[in-house]
Amino acid sequence: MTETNTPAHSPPPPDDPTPESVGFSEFTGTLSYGVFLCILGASAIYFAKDFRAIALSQSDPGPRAIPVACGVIMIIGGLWQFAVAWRKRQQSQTDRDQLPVPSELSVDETKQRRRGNLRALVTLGLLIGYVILLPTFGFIVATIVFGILVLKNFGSPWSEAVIATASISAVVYVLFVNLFQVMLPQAIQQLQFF
Amino acid sequence: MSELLQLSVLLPWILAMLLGIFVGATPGLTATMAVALIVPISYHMSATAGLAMIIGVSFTAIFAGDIPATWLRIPGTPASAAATLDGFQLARKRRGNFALMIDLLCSSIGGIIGVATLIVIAPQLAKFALKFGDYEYFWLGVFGLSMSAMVTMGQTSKGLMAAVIGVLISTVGQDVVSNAHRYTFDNIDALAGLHFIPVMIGLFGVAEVLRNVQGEQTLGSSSGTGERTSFLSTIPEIWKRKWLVVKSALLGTIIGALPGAGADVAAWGAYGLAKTTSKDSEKFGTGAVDGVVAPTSANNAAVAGAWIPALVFGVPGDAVTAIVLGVLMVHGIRPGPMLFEEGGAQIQSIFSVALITQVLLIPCGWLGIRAFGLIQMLPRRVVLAAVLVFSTVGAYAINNSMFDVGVMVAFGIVGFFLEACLVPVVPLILGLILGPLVEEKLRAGLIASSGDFTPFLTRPICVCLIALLVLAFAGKPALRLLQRRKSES
Repeated sequence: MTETNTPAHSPPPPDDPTPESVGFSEFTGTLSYGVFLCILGASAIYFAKDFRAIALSQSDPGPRAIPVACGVIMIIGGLWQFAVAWRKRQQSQTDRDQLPVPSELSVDETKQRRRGNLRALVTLGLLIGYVILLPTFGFIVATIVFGILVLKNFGSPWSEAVIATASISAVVYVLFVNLFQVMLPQAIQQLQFF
Repeated sequence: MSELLQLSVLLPWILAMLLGIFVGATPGLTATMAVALIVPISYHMSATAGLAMIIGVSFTAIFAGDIPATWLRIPGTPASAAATLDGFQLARKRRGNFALMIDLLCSSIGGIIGVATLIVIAPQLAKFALKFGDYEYFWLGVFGLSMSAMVTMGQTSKGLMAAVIGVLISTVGQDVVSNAHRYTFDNIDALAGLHFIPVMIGLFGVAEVLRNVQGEQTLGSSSGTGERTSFLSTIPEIWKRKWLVVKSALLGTIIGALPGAGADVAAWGAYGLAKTTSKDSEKFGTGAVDGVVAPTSANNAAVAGAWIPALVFGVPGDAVTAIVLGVLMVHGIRPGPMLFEEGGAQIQSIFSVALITQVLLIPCGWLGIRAFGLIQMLPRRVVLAAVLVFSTVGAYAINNSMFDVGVMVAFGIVGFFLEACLVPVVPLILGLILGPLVEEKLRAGLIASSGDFTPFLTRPICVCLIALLVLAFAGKPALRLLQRRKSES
């Protein structure tokens, strides 16, 4: 059961009403994936040289075999993605020549996309900040700050941000700490307010 | 069996099913994510309760995805995309509750057929699986990896590479054969390798939130509900279509059992089959009850089907069973043919939980349909914020380690990037799960054969698996070439 929301592996319904993919264009996506694969593959091969192994059997291909094989396959796959991207670009240029009007994004759509990108970037930044602050400030303080900031970033009014954050923190705390006896990160001693 | 009816098992089981309804009915949150979220909690329960929670959540989330698909034309999970056709058309005709009640009952029946097939087939397959050695398991692992990429709808090369990335990630940590430290960069936390649950939460949970936040313009929106229909009034409608239910459920089970294929593929396959074999095929897409019955019977049966390779061979058929395998191992249950030989009580427990879940699905699903209006009153942004907090705490709770939280964030970024590049992430997860199996069996096989690769290529089951692999990759292009030549001549 393939179970994600990736548009790539879920066959779209014939008249899918969901908005268009928010990712790269097919050309940019394929090209970026190719670059990613080549870098990852080359890094995998480069760092595999540092593996120090005790040889147990002459017949064992060793700990480097699979990582290096993966690295080589990824580089080949990356180059293949470049070729696919190039072919797609040629194809889209041919298609564009045949189309009467080139499709361009409207000013509103461009603005919306930019806003969306910025919101995702801020969300990611807040999440990284939350993870960094969690061991220092502990679960309660860090979650309250993170919850309010992230909800404000999503466009919540102050009242909603505060009430929702308090509810989420309380539910998670009760569920994990009281019900399942999980120790959540505690603030360092100098900062223990709770 | 009596253990299943104890309050300590029944209560978390039902609560997990209700969570499955909530997550499945929320567009953007998938069944895989629901299972990934419940895993850290299940670690702290008994094996039976943990298993019941995970089985419960996986079945209910798939059904619940049909709720927003029917009302709002937004599939809750990809497996529910087919419900946006006839289910939604019925809702437009003020028969949305009727469509959902049919959906609920067919999901339950489809699940029962899927589990019954699992009970009948799995032990027989397990006897055959005992003939599998290192060489056969190696090819089975490769086959599973390839299949996961093959069914990624026109993204085969991207899917295959994602599977290879997964295999590479699985090599991180201390090598059990040679003790070599692989890609640990002197980090002690990385010695045990990357736990696949934080990876999963990152790839599905965090990446999904980022995708939603980036694309959705109305994060504050919420939705309403529709008319009321009696549950019993739908039974005659389903009785009229009993063979369609059986046919779709069996097809769903078979598709679910293929590694990498799943509930979404099963739903579309059953919809296509029902449409092509129906006398009223032109009514499909306009609110045909058959168009509701077929995909929903198939997608829940596919969930059960995915358990066949997972339990018999220890090879997960999809991302959900991949997580379940991890949970089983944590609770000391080792999936594979020996489980059927030695773990009679454990296997009985799994089968009983799966069957009872189908029965419990009816009241839980009914509650879900009724509660949908209330839950959907919450602004979407609040749900997304809650997912971020829950994901972080969930990743931390596995080992009480901030390293796992870091892994989750890192894979959230990777998942977001891969999705933006239209790369399917499920093969990556299967690579992460199957990677150690492929490596272990390759090395064990080579050590046993003194470095000779011949047994990998000559043993009968290996030959069959290689032939299947070649057929899977070369079959379609060869057929296309043949057809082109035919048309040219």
